[in-house]
Amino acid sequence: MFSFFNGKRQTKKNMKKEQNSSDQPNSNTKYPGYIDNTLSTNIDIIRKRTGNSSDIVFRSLKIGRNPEIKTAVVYVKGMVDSQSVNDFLIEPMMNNPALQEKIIPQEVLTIITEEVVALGGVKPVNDWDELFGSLMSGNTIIFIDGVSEALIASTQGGERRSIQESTTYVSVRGPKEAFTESIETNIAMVRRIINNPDLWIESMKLGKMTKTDVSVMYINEIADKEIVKEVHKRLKRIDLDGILESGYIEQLIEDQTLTTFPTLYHTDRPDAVAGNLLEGRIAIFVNGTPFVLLGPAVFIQFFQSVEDYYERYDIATAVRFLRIFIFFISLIGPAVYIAITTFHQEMIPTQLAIIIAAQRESVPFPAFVEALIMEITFEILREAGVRMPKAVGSTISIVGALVIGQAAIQAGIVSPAMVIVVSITAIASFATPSYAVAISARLIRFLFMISAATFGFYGLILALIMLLVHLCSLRSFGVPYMSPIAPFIPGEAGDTFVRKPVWAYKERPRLIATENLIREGKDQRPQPPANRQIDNQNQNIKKGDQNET
Amino acid sequence: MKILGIALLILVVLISFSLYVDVTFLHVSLTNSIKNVLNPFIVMDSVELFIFVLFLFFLVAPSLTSYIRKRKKGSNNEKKQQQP
Amino acid sequence: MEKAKINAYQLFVLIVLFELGSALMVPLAIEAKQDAWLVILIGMGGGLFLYLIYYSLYYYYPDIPSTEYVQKIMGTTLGRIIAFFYVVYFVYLAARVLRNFGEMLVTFAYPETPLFVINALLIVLVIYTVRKGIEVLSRTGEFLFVFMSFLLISASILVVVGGIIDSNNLRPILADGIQPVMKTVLMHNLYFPFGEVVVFTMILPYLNRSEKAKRTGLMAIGLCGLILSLITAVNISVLGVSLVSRSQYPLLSTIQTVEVAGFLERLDVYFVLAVVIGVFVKIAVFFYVAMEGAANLFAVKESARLVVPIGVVILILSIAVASNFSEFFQEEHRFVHFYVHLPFQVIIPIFLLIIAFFKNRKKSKG
Repeated sequence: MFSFFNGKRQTKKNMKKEQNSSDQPNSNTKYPGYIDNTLSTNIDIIRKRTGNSSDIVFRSLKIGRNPEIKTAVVYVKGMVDSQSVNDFLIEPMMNNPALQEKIIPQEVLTIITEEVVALGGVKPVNDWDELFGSLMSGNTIIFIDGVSEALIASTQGGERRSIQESTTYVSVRGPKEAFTESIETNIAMVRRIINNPDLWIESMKLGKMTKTDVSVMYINEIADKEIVKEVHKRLKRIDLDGILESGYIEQLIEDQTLTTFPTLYHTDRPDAVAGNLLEGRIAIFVNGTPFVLLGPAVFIQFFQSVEDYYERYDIATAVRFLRIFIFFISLIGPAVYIAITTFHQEMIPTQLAIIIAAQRESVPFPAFVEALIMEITFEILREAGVRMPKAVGSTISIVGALVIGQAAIQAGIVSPAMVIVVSITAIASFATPSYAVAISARLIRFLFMISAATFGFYGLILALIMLLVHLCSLRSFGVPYMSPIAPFIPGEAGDTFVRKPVWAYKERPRLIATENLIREGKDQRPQPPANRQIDNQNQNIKKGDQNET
Repeated sequence: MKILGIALLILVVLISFSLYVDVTFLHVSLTNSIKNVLNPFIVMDSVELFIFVLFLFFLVAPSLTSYIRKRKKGSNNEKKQQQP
Repeated sequence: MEKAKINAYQLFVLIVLFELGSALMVPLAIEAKQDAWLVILIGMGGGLFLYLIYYSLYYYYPDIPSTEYVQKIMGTTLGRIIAFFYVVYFVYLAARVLRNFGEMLVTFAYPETPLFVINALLIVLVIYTVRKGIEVLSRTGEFLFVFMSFLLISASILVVVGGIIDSNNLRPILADGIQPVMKTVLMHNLYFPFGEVVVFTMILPYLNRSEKAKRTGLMAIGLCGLILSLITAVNISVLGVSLVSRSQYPLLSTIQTVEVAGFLERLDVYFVLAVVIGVFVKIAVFFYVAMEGAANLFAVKESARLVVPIGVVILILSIAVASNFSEFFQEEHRFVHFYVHLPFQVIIPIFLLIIAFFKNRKKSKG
């Protein structure tokens, strides 16, 4: 029995192998490996390979005198910057005096490269694969009859979204610009912040079909070499047909897949990327998405926003504590309510207990079911609110407010106290700065509710400890996920729950930037002049300008 | 198998120790103390039983799968040897 | 041995949480009546001494756990038997702690939930943790330590603010002389909780800087002694000697009497939280050590494969170890403290140390 199956499987495999091996020469016979020296053949090859796609433009030109040489300019409509193709490529080729004389085809290449084309990048190519690669990424190809080489002129351009304000990570204070879908723009935006040759970028193309540009950016002096190497190793492993968003890469290079928590940070703010690069992290840019990946990430990072560093430290610290508190509410809010009303009524003050009991009297369900109904209703509303067109937004909010707020209570399905708990939880889950963590908290919340419903506080505590163990077991590129807190690193705990003043940031995170740790000079703490008068003398302020004198 | 053996060894040693303590120090007769040990496992309500069986399943499952895998490998090897 | 390293702070945290574990729950040294707090302090002194013995053994063999160096000291056969009994001892203690904890929850909070289910839940959590290894356990410990300190500090503030402390309950000091105090120390308190540090002979080799082992351990035990002594003193001064000696869980009773500002009352959750954290760490440490010991002894390559079997053994044993709580309690006091702890915590280690001392002296001479 077994051998029978095995035999069959083997033959199938063999057949596949044969097919594969026969595929290879086939695809090669479609076009020769190198460019032909007759123009019409080359154009035919391109037509065939692209299936006569209508967006590929062939523009034939004639240059030289006696004999005239046929040339062709090939590009993809919409992918190129059409103005530069017209002004700097086609126009000079038609009008340049150097091409109006008697010339031999072999010289044309050098003449065009050196005298005619007024574009940044021009290079000869004779390999079809490379040629198609650059044609498809928006470059223009120039063919010359009688030459077995072609020229690639870099004319990438076309319509793209312009730089706009970030909609996902909004801040009150700080730069407003956000990344766009174009990788070059994004990289340039970071370069504009960190004007330093040590900002290194390494690029590669990932995805068999999409050939997406992916760039790894880090600061050479700061980033840990081992982690850079590890990032490269993991990126090189990727063998997928398409990379459509940085999320693909995130899921392919994380340390542990069995978790709801994000182990890579993503942002669309250039200042956030720059700040993280300065801490020794590594950024991964993916073409076609404004979201840039940052690793290694630690858990507490998802509760920080760039704005914390722009605000005064005491205010930022207070806000961070608030965020942790919010996270806890969004995690265990309904669970605590369930545990208290089902198991531990004695814990709440008598007055309140009586009120809640009176409310719950008419409700036919146990607290858990009640909470589940409300939570699921809320999740439905939220999902509808995210996906639906803006025009019907008000409908949803009216229906939601009526269903959740009034009707459910009046119908006696849920108690008012439960509505309060669920709505506080809902608001809390939106107040967490990182959407990725907020959504995983929303998911885990249901587990907490189940554990609280079955075993009260005991179940809730056990579930919390389990979550803690799980978080402590995670790693991001080898760095413990809970890192500056557990393992506790005294110098860095100042940038976790609290945000120490900027003048106290002496060192970079030790586990992320392992070598170059010193971050700022000594005595950065501002020292106001001891004596007011000296100050006044120095600035030559006239008497009477200040109220004191 | 070896793993289960280790666990069983520890369990047997400790249960017999606990029986010994019962008999010598608390002066319970041996039969009674054996009954005491077994009672909680005989009288179980459905939830307890379910959890208990679940535990036993997780206890046995890894050994069982490795055993099956070994047998498969063994049979495959035999057949491979037969083929030439 | 697992390839892992923990730092001195993590070791400190583990020892503190481990010691506090079930000691927070039960009445300690109440045989000495109002001098119980003194007993604990003296017991702590004994615990420090015991730790020095374990530390010296570690000093001789800094890279291997106790199940291995026993074999080096006593020879393979005898060493293996002793090591096996140590493994069994750890499993037994884990089961006892689990049983004690389960009984506590059943009596005071969940009278309708079967003991088996409560124990099973905790053991599932511990299995999950131990499977992740000692590094994760100690990192979790760091978090839990912060949490535990927060609980203890805020609880003591509440007790003080609540104005329920009556220090007259602690008088007279040494009414019956020093003898009952010393007797309690030697019969009970030296072994539980202080002598139980013997499990850390298995964990010390993971320490990344061995020179810190001595100071860290001593500090941790000292801190625990102070905390436990303080808690016992507070229990007695709030409840009075007779109530404490009749109460199964004196700390719980103390916390239940707290009432501040009219609405902060019935703070049982405090107690449950602290005890769950402590007991969790305690069982996890016992469990981990037993697992590594067994893996080492029976040459199991992946110690993680032993997790579920040992977990099930602990669970079954926690149910089978006694038929009811009074039997359990009797055993604990009349038998386990003296006849089980004494040989494993004191006699064997001292014996090992003497032999190790002579063996190593020979070596250094030769």
